[in-house]
Amino acid sequence: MAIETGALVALSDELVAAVERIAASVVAVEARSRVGSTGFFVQPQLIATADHALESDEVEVVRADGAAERATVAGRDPSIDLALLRVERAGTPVEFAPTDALRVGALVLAVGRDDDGDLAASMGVLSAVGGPWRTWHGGEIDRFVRPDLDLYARFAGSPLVDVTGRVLGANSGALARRQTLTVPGATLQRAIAELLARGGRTRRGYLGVALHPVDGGAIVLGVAPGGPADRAGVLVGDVIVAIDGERIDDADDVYARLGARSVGTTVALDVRRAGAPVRVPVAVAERPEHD
Amino acid sequence: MGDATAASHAFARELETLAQRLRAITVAVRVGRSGAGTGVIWTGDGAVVTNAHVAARPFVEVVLEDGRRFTARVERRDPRRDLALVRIDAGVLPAAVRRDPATLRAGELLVALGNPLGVPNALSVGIAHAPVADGRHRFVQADLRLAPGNSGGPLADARGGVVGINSMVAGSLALAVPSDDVERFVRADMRGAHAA
Repeated sequence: MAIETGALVALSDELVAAVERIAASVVAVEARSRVGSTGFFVQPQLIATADHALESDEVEVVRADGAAERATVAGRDPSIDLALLRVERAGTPVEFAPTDALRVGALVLAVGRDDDGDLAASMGVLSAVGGPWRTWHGGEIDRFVRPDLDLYARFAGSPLVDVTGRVLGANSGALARRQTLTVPGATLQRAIAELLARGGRTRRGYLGVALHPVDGGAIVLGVAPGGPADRAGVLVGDVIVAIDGERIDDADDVYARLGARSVGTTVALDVRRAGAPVRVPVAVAERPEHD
Repeated sequence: MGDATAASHAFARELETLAQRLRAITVAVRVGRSGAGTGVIWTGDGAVVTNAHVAARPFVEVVLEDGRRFTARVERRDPRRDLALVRIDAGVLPAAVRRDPATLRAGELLVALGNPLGVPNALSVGIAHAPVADGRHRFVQADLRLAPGNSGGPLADARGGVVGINSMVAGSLALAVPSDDVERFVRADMRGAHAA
Protein backbone atom coordinates (compact mmCIF):
# COMPACT_ATOMS: atom_id res chain seq x y z
CA MET A 1 0.00 0.00 0.00
CA ALA A 2 1.63 3.20 -1.17
CA ILE A 3 1.25 6.32 0.93
CA GLU A 4 1.65 9.97 0.05
CA THR A 5 4.69 11.13 1.95
CA GLY A 6 6.63 12.95 -0.75
CA ALA A 7 7.70 15.80 1.53
CA LEU A 8 9.02 13.40 4.18
CA VAL A 9 10.91 11.43 1.56
CA ALA A 10 12.34 14.66 0.14
CA LEU A 11 13.45 15.79 3.61
CA SER A 12 14.94 12.36 4.28
CA ASP A 13 16.87 12.53 1.00
CA GLU A 14 18.11 16.03 1.86
CA LEU A 15 19.41 14.87 5.25
CA VAL A 16 21.19 11.93 3.64
CA ALA A 17 22.67 14.24 1.01
CA ALA A 18 23.92 16.61 3.74
CA VAL A 19 25.61 13.71 5.55
CA GLU A 20 27.09 12.39 2.31
CA ARG A 21 28.32 15.82 1.30
CA ILE A 22 30.35 16.20 4.49
CA ALA A 23 31.37 12.53 4.57
CA ALA A 24 34.56 12.89 2.51
CA SER A 25 35.85 15.48 5.00
CA VAL A 26 35.13 13.54 8.20
CA VAL A 27 37.68 11.24 9.88
CA ALA A 28 37.82 9.16 13.03
CA VAL A 29 40.60 10.25 15.41
CA GLU A 30 42.42 7.80 17.66
CA ALA A 31 44.84 9.18 20.24
CA ARG A 32 44.87 6.63 23.06
CA SER A 33 41.81 8.07 24.74
CA ARG A 34 39.16 5.70 26.06
CA VAL A 35 36.85 6.50 23.20
CA GLY A 36 38.05 8.03 19.98
CA SER A 37 36.80 11.28 18.55
CA THR A 38 35.99 12.83 15.21
CA GLY A 39 37.77 15.41 13.08
CA PHE A 40 37.23 17.14 9.75
CA PHE A 41 39.47 18.58 7.05
CA VAL A 42 39.74 22.36 7.15
CA GLN A 43 42.58 22.44 4.60
CA PRO A 44 43.76 19.70 2.22
CA GLN A 45 46.25 18.30 4.76
CA LEU A 46 44.88 19.81 7.95
CA ILE A 47 42.21 18.33 10.23
CA ALA A 48 40.40 20.11 13.09
CA THR A 49 39.42 17.96 16.07
CA ALA A 50 38.63 18.15 19.79
CA ASP A 51 41.68 18.93 21.90
CA HIS A 52 40.42 17.24 25.08
CA ALA A 53 40.19 13.85 23.36
CA LEU A 54 43.90 13.83 22.42
CA GLU A 55 45.73 11.96 25.15
CA SER A 56 48.83 11.33 23.14
CA ASP A 57 50.84 12.95 20.35
CA GLU A 58 50.66 9.63 18.54
CA VAL A 59 47.52 10.12 16.56
CA GLU A 60 45.89 8.02 13.89
CA VAL A 61 43.01 9.06 11.68
CA VAL A 62 40.63 6.78 9.79
CA ARG A 63 38.82 7.80 6.62
CA ALA A 64 35.85 6.21 4.87
CA ASP A 65 37.92 3.29 3.56
CA GLY A 66 38.66 2.18 7.14
CA ALA A 67 42.44 2.47 6.69
CA ALA A 68 44.36 4.06 9.56
CA GLU A 69 47.08 6.59 8.86
CA ARG A 70 49.48 8.57 11.03
CA ALA A 71 48.80 12.19 11.81
CA THR A 72 50.96 14.75 13.60
CA VAL A 73 49.67 17.38 15.99
CA ALA A 74 50.05 20.74 14.23
CA GLY A 75 48.60 22.92 16.95
CA ARG A 76 46.50 22.96 20.08
CA ASP A 77 44.21 25.54 21.61
CA PRO A 78 42.70 23.91 24.70
CA SER A 79 40.85 27.13 25.56
CA ILE A 80 38.35 26.44 22.76
CA ASP A 81 38.88 22.65 22.66
CA LEU A 82 40.58 22.77 19.26
CA ALA A 83 43.48 20.69 18.00
CA LEU A 84 44.92 20.61 14.49
CA LEU A 85 46.27 17.45 12.91
CA ARG A 86 48.42 17.24 9.80
CA VAL A 87 48.29 14.29 7.39
CA GLU A 88 50.23 13.56 4.20
CA ARG A 89 47.42 12.35 1.99
CA ALA A 90 45.16 15.26 1.09
CA GLY A 91 41.47 15.23 2.00
CA THR A 92 38.48 17.34 1.06
CA PRO A 93 38.18 20.52 3.15
CA VAL A 94 34.70 21.37 4.43
CA GLU A 95 32.76 24.41 3.35
CA PHE A 96 31.91 26.70 6.25
CA ALA A 97 28.42 28.19 6.42
CA PRO A 98 28.13 31.97 6.77
CA THR A 99 27.49 33.22 10.31
CA ASP A 100 23.90 34.18 9.46
CA ALA A 101 23.12 30.47 9.05
CA LEU A 102 23.16 30.27 12.86
CA ARG A 103 19.45 30.63 13.53
CA VAL A 104 17.52 29.13 16.42
CA GLY A 105 15.25 26.38 15.13
CA ALA A 106 17.35 25.48 12.10
CA LEU A 107 17.67 21.73 11.45
CA VAL A 108 21.21 20.57 12.09
CA LEU A 109 23.18 17.32 11.97
CA ALA A 110 26.28 16.16 13.80
CA VAL A 111 28.38 13.72 11.78
CA GLY A 112 30.95 11.40 13.31
CA ARG A 113 33.02 8.46 12.14
CA ASP A 114 34.08 5.34 14.01
CA ASP A 115 37.38 3.47 13.79
CA ASP A 116 35.93 1.04 11.23
CA GLY A 117 35.37 4.02 8.97
CA ASP A 118 31.58 3.94 9.36
CA LEU A 119 29.71 7.25 9.41
CA ALA A 120 27.26 8.11 12.16
CA ALA A 121 24.82 10.99 12.44
CA SER A 122 22.50 12.64 14.89
CA MET A 123 19.86 15.24 14.16
CA GLY A 124 18.41 18.13 16.08
CA VAL A 125 17.85 21.85 15.91
CA LEU A 126 19.82 24.90 16.93
CA SER A 127 18.55 25.43 20.43
CA ALA A 128 20.22 28.70 21.39
CA VAL A 129 22.36 31.23 19.58
CA GLY A 130 23.88 34.16 21.44
CA GLY A 131 26.66 36.70 21.41
CA PRO A 132 30.37 36.37 22.19
CA TRP A 133 31.36 34.43 25.29
CA ARG A 134 34.49 33.27 27.08
CA THR A 135 35.13 29.63 27.96
CA TRP A 136 36.26 28.62 31.44
CA HIS A 137 39.80 28.41 30.07
CA GLY A 138 39.73 31.88 28.61
CA GLY A 139 38.87 30.96 25.03
CA GLU A 140 37.14 33.75 23.17
CA ILE A 141 34.22 32.47 21.13
CA ASP A 142 32.37 34.68 18.66
CA ARG A 143 28.88 33.27 19.14
CA PHE A 144 27.24 31.12 21.79
CA VAL A 145 25.88 28.11 19.88
CA ARG A 146 23.95 25.32 21.59
CA PRO A 147 22.54 22.53 19.46
CA ASP A 148 19.72 20.36 20.78
CA LEU A 149 21.00 16.96 19.71
CA ASP A 150 22.73 13.92 21.15
CA LEU A 151 26.50 14.00 21.07
CA TYR A 152 27.31 10.29 20.98
CA ALA A 153 30.56 8.68 22.07
CA ARG A 154 33.18 9.55 19.43
CA PHE A 155 31.29 12.71 18.42
CA ALA A 156 33.72 15.06 20.21
CA GLY A 157 35.13 17.30 17.49
CA SER A 158 32.41 16.33 15.02
CA PRO A 159 31.20 18.97 12.59
CA LEU A 160 27.77 20.48 13.12
CA VAL A 161 26.32 20.87 9.64
CA ASP A 162 23.25 22.51 8.17
CA VAL A 163 20.86 20.72 5.82
CA THR A 164 23.12 21.49 2.87
CA GLY A 165 26.18 19.94 4.50
CA ARG A 166 27.95 23.22 5.24
CA VAL A 167 29.79 23.37 8.56
CA LEU A 168 28.36 25.60 11.29
CA GLY A 169 31.04 24.68 13.82
CA ALA A 170 32.73 21.95 15.83
CA ASN A 171 30.87 20.14 18.62
CA SER A 172 32.30 19.81 22.10
CA GLY A 173 31.06 18.34 25.32
CA ALA A 174 34.05 19.77 27.17
CA LEU A 175 33.24 23.49 27.09
CA ALA A 176 30.39 23.32 29.60
CA ARG A 177 29.15 20.91 32.17
CA ARG A 178 26.47 18.51 30.95
CA GLN A 179 25.75 20.18 27.65
CA THR A 180 26.93 20.18 24.11
CA LEU A 181 28.15 23.47 22.72
CA THR A 182 29.45 24.24 19.27
CA VAL A 183 32.49 26.37 18.50
CA PRO A 184 31.27 28.38 15.50
CA GLY A 185 33.06 28.34 12.16
CA ALA A 186 34.22 31.96 12.43
CA THR A 187 36.00 31.21 15.71
CA LEU A 188 37.53 28.03 14.31
CA GLN A 189 38.83 29.78 11.22
CA ARG A 190 40.36 32.62 13.24
CA ALA A 191 41.91 30.21 15.77
CA ILE A 192 43.29 27.98 13.01
CA ALA A 193 44.94 30.95 11.30
CA GLU A 194 46.43 32.12 14.61
CA LEU A 195 47.70 28.67 15.50
CA LEU A 196 49.35 28.19 12.12
CA ALA A 197 50.91 31.67 12.25
CA ARG A 198 52.37 30.92 15.66
CA GLY A 199 53.74 27.46 14.97
CA GLY A 200 50.90 25.65 16.68
CA ARG A 201 50.86 27.54 19.96
CA THR A 202 48.09 29.72 21.24
CA ARG A 203 48.64 33.19 22.57
CA ARG A 204 47.60 33.42 26.22
CA GLY A 205 47.66 36.21 28.76
CA TYR A 206 50.03 35.88 31.73
CA LEU A 207 50.03 37.41 35.20
CA GLY A 208 52.76 35.31 36.77
CA VAL A 209 50.85 34.12 39.82
CA ALA A 210 50.11 30.71 41.31
CA LEU A 211 46.56 30.59 42.59
CA HIS A 212 44.40 28.45 44.81
CA PRO A 213 40.63 28.83 45.23
CA VAL A 214 39.45 30.12 48.59
CA ASP A 215 36.12 31.32 49.86
CA GLY A 216 35.24 34.41 47.82
CA GLY A 217 38.17 34.41 45.41
CA ALA A 218 41.59 32.97 44.60
CA ILE A 219 44.57 33.31 46.90
CA VAL A 220 48.02 34.07 45.53
CA LEU A 221 50.36 31.26 46.60
CA GLY A 222 53.32 32.34 44.51
CA VAL A 223 54.51 35.27 42.40
CA ALA A 224 56.92 34.75 39.50
CA PRO A 225 59.94 37.04 40.12
CA GLY A 226 59.99 39.85 37.56
CA GLY A 227 56.63 38.80 36.13
CA PRO A 228 53.69 41.16 35.51
CA ALA A 229 52.12 40.61 38.95
CA ASP A 230 55.46 41.01 40.69
CA ARG A 231 56.17 44.27 38.86
CA ALA A 232 52.70 45.55 39.77
CA GLY A 233 53.21 44.79 43.46
CA VAL A 234 50.96 41.75 43.94
CA LEU A 235 51.96 39.91 47.13
CA VAL A 236 51.78 36.29 48.23
CA GLY A 237 48.68 36.00 50.41
CA ASP A 238 46.61 38.51 48.41
CA VAL A 239 43.14 37.18 47.65
CA ILE A 240 41.95 38.18 44.17
CA VAL A 241 38.23 38.91 44.48
CA ALA A 242 37.55 40.67 41.16
CA ILE A 243 39.16 41.53 37.84
CA ASP A 244 37.95 44.66 36.05
CA GLY A 245 34.98 44.68 38.40
CA GLU A 246 33.93 41.09 37.60
CA ARG A 247 33.76 38.78 40.59
CA ILE A 248 36.24 35.92 40.86
CA ASP A 249 35.04 32.69 42.45
CA ASP A 250 38.02 30.46 41.78
CA ALA A 251 41.30 30.23 39.88
CA ASP A 252 39.53 29.23 36.64
CA ASP A 253 37.74 32.58 36.65
CA VAL A 254 41.14 34.28 36.61
CA TYR A 255 42.46 32.11 33.75
CA ALA A 256 39.21 32.77 31.88
CA ARG A 257 40.14 36.47 31.85
CA LEU A 258 43.49 35.75 30.20
CA GLY A 259 42.52 34.93 26.61
CA ALA A 260 44.56 35.91 23.57
CA ARG A 261 43.11 39.42 23.48
CA SER A 262 44.12 40.17 27.07
CA VAL A 263 47.81 40.28 26.09
CA GLY A 264 49.06 43.88 26.23
CA THR A 265 46.03 45.20 28.13
CA THR A 266 46.02 46.38 31.73
CA VAL A 267 43.57 44.74 34.10
CA ALA A 268 42.48 46.00 37.52
CA LEU A 269 42.89 43.34 40.19
CA ASP A 270 40.74 43.87 43.25
CA VAL A 271 42.51 42.03 46.05
CA ARG A 272 41.91 41.57 49.75
CA ARG A 273 45.21 42.20 51.52
CA ALA A 274 45.25 41.52 55.26
CA GLY A 275 41.50 42.10 55.22
CA ALA A 276 41.65 45.45 53.43
CA PRO A 277 40.56 46.03 49.79
CA VAL A 278 43.33 47.11 47.43
CA ARG A 279 43.16 47.72 43.69
CA VAL A 280 46.28 46.72 41.71
CA PRO A 281 46.56 47.49 37.98
CA VAL A 282 48.57 44.76 36.19
CA ALA A 283 49.89 44.88 32.61
CA VAL A 284 49.07 41.44 31.15
CA ALA A 285 52.03 39.86 29.34
CA GLU A 286 52.13 36.92 26.99
CA ARG A 287 52.49 33.54 28.61
CA PRO A 288 56.05 32.26 28.14
CA GLU A 289 56.79 29.02 26.25
CA HIS A 290 56.99 26.69 29.25
CA ASP A 291 54.45 27.77 31.77
CA MET B 1 0.33 31.28 6.65
CA GLY B 2 0.77 30.49 3.01
CA ASP B 3 4.03 29.57 1.40
CA ALA B 4 6.22 30.52 4.34
CA THR B 5 4.99 27.50 6.31
CA ALA B 6 4.11 25.18 3.43
CA ALA B 7 7.00 22.83 4.15
CA SER B 8 6.23 22.41 7.83
CA HIS B 9 2.52 21.90 7.10
CA ALA B 10 3.37 19.22 4.56
CA PHE B 11 5.76 17.69 7.08
CA ALA B 12 3.09 17.52 9.80
CA ARG B 13 0.39 16.28 7.41
CA GLU B 14 2.57 13.52 6.04
CA LEU B 15 3.82 12.47 9.46
CA GLU B 16 0.17 12.01 10.38
CA THR B 17 -0.35 9.92 7.22
CA LEU B 18 2.70 7.86 8.10
CA ALA B 19 1.58 7.42 11.71
CA GLN B 20 -1.87 6.34 10.50
CA ARG B 21 -0.35 3.77 8.20
CA LEU B 22 1.84 2.42 10.99
CA ARG B 23 -1.02 2.38 13.51
CA ALA B 24 -2.84 -0.11 11.28
CA ILE B 25 0.02 -2.61 11.59
CA THR B 26 0.87 -1.86 15.23
CA VAL B 27 -0.73 -3.63 18.19
CA ALA B 28 -0.54 -3.26 21.95
CA VAL B 29 0.76 -6.36 23.70
CA ARG B 30 -0.38 -6.79 27.29
CA VAL B 31 0.92 -9.29 29.75
CA GLY B 32 -0.81 -9.67 33.09
CA ARG B 33 -2.01 -6.47 34.63
CA SER B 34 1.04 -4.29 34.42
CA GLY B 35 3.24 -5.31 31.52
CA ALA B 36 2.64 -3.58 28.23
CA GLY B 37 4.59 -3.38 25.05
CA THR B 38 4.07 -3.10 21.34
CA GLY B 39 3.87 -5.54 18.46
CA VAL B 40 3.82 -5.51 14.66
CA ILE B 41 1.45 -7.42 12.38
CA TRP B 42 4.02 -9.15 10.22
CA THR B 43 1.76 -11.13 7.90
CA GLY B 44 -1.84 -10.53 6.83
CA ASP B 45 -2.92 -13.90 8.25
CA GLY B 46 -2.21 -12.81 11.82
CA ALA B 47 1.45 -13.43 12.63
CA VAL B 48 2.34 -10.75 15.21
CA VAL B 49 5.95 -10.08 16.18
CA THR B 50 7.03 -8.50 19.44
CA ASN B 51 10.06 -8.66 21.72
CA ALA B 52 10.74 -11.80 23.73
CA HIS B 53 11.11 -9.59 26.79
CA VAL B 54 7.59 -8.23 26.21
CA ALA B 55 5.94 -11.64 25.63
CA ALA B 56 7.43 -13.03 28.79
CA ARG B 57 4.50 -15.36 29.60
CA PRO B 58 2.83 -18.25 27.72
CA PHE B 59 -0.22 -16.12 26.88
CA VAL B 60 -0.51 -12.42 26.01
CA GLU B 61 -3.33 -10.09 25.09
CA VAL B 62 -3.09 -8.45 21.67
CA VAL B 63 -5.10 -5.25 21.10
CA LEU B 64 -5.64 -4.12 17.52
CA GLU B 65 -6.06 -0.54 16.34
CA ASP B 66 -9.82 -1.09 15.94
CA GLY B 67 -10.08 -2.12 19.58
CA ARG B 68 -10.47 -5.86 19.05
CA ARG B 69 -8.71 -7.91 21.71
CA PHE B 70 -7.27 -11.39 21.38
CA THR B 71 -5.77 -13.64 23.97
CA ALA B 72 -3.06 -15.51 22.14
CA ARG B 73 -0.53 -18.18 22.91
CA VAL B 74 3.11 -17.21 22.36
CA GLU B 75 4.03 -19.57 19.56
CA ARG B 76 7.78 -19.05 19.62
CA ARG B 77 10.39 -17.07 21.47
CA ASP B 78 14.05 -16.32 20.77
CA PRO B 79 15.38 -14.56 23.86
CA ARG B 80 18.83 -14.12 22.32
CA ARG B 81 17.39 -12.19 19.40
CA ASP B 82 14.69 -10.74 21.65
CA LEU B 83 11.88 -11.81 19.33
CA ALA B 84 8.57 -13.55 19.99
CA LEU B 85 5.86 -14.71 17.60
CA VAL B 86 2.17 -14.61 18.47
CA ARG B 87 -0.60 -15.72 16.12
CA ILE B 88 -4.10 -14.27 16.18
CA ASP B 89 -7.13 -15.27 14.14
CA ALA B 90 -8.59 -11.92 13.12
CA GLY B 91 -9.32 -12.41 9.43
CA VAL B 92 -7.25 -10.54 6.88
CA LEU B 93 -5.12 -7.81 8.46
CA PRO B 94 -2.92 -5.06 7.05
CA ALA B 95 0.69 -6.22 7.40
CA ALA B 96 4.09 -4.55 7.65
CA VAL B 97 5.80 -3.67 4.39
CA ARG B 98 9.44 -4.58 4.91
CA ARG B 99 12.43 -2.50 3.94
CA ASP B 100 15.90 -4.04 3.79
CA PRO B 101 17.85 -2.25 6.56
CA ALA B 102 21.12 -2.89 4.73
CA THR B 103 20.10 -0.12 2.32
CA LEU B 104 19.70 2.48 5.09
CA ARG B 105 21.97 5.52 4.87
CA ALA B 106 23.02 7.66 7.82
CA GLY B 107 20.70 10.65 8.03
CA GLU B 108 17.57 8.96 6.66
CA LEU B 109 14.39 9.98 8.42
CA LEU B 110 13.00 7.22 10.65
CA VAL B 111 9.89 7.00 12.80
CA ALA B 112 8.85 4.68 15.61
CA LEU B 113 5.36 3.92 16.81
CA GLY B 114 4.53 2.32 20.11
CA ASN B 115 3.14 2.65 23.59
CA PRO B 116 5.97 4.35 25.49
CA LEU B 117 5.20 4.52 29.19
CA GLY B 118 1.65 3.44 28.41
CA VAL B 119 0.90 6.28 25.99
CA PRO B 120 -0.97 4.59 23.13
CA ASN B 121 0.28 4.94 19.56
CA ALA B 122 2.92 7.55 20.30
CA LEU B 123 5.09 8.67 17.40
CA SER B 124 8.83 9.33 17.65
CA VAL B 125 10.89 10.91 14.88
CA GLY B 126 14.62 10.62 14.32
CA ILE B 127 17.19 9.53 11.76
CA ALA B 128 19.27 6.49 10.86
CA HIS B 129 22.39 6.87 13.00
CA ALA B 130 24.85 4.49 11.37
CA PRO B 131 24.92 1.33 9.27
CA VAL B 132 23.49 -1.88 10.76
CA ALA B 133 25.77 -2.84 13.65
CA ASP B 134 27.46 -6.18 13.09
CA GLY B 135 28.47 -7.16 16.59
CA ARG B 136 27.37 -10.31 18.39
CA HIS B 137 23.88 -9.31 17.35
CA ARG B 138 22.88 -7.17 14.42
CA PHE B 139 20.95 -3.99 15.17
CA VAL B 140 19.53 -1.09 13.24
CA GLN B 141 20.83 2.03 15.02
CA ALA B 142 18.57 5.06 15.15
CA ASP B 143 19.08 8.51 16.63
CA LEU B 144 15.56 8.52 18.01
CA ARG B 145 14.03 8.69 21.49
CA LEU B 146 12.36 5.53 22.77
CA ALA B 147 10.96 4.66 26.18
CA PRO B 148 9.84 1.44 27.89
CA GLY B 149 6.66 0.33 26.13
CA ASN B 150 8.12 1.09 22.68
CA SER B 151 9.59 -2.41 22.80
CA GLY B 152 8.34 -4.62 20.00
CA GLY B 153 7.07 -1.72 17.89
CA PRO B 154 7.97 -0.79 14.33
CA LEU B 155 10.91 1.35 13.22
CA ALA B 156 10.03 2.60 9.75
CA ASP B 157 11.34 4.85 6.99
CA ALA B 158 9.62 7.89 5.43
CA ARG B 159 7.55 5.64 3.14
CA GLY B 160 6.37 3.40 5.97
CA GLY B 161 8.78 0.57 5.14
CA VAL B 162 9.58 -1.31 8.34
CA VAL B 163 13.35 -1.64 8.87
CA GLY B 164 13.22 -3.24 12.29
CA ILE B 165 11.50 -4.08 15.56
CA ASN B 166 12.48 -1.71 18.38
CA SER B 167 14.19 -3.66 21.09
CA MET B 168 16.68 -1.72 23.19
CA VAL B 169 17.85 1.71 24.17
CA ALA B 170 21.60 2.29 24.46
CA GLY B 171 22.09 5.73 25.94
CA SER B 172 20.10 7.88 23.58
CA LEU B 173 20.39 5.41 20.71
CA ALA B 174 17.45 3.24 19.67
CA LEU B 175 18.40 -0.31 18.68
CA ALA B 176 16.04 -2.39 16.55
CA VAL B 177 16.21 -6.01 15.38
CA PRO B 178 16.68 -5.75 11.60
CA SER B 179 13.60 -6.70 9.56
CA ASP B 180 15.50 -9.38 7.62
CA ASP B 181 16.30 -11.13 10.91
CA VAL B 182 12.65 -10.78 11.92
CA GLU B 183 11.57 -12.27 8.61
CA ARG B 184 13.87 -15.26 9.10
CA PHE B 185 12.53 -15.72 12.63
CA VAL B 186 8.91 -15.65 11.46
CA ARG B 187 9.54 -17.99 8.52
CA ALA B 188 11.60 -20.48 10.48
CA ASP B 189 9.97 -23.79 11.32
CA MET B 190 9.76 -24.85 14.92
CA ARG B 191 12.96 -26.87 14.86
CA GLY B 192 15.85 -25.13 16.55
CA ALA B 193 13.69 -22.36 17.89
CA HIS B 194 12.82 -21.97 21.53
CA ALA B 195 9.31 -23.22 22.10
CA ALA B 196 7.42 -21.14 24.62
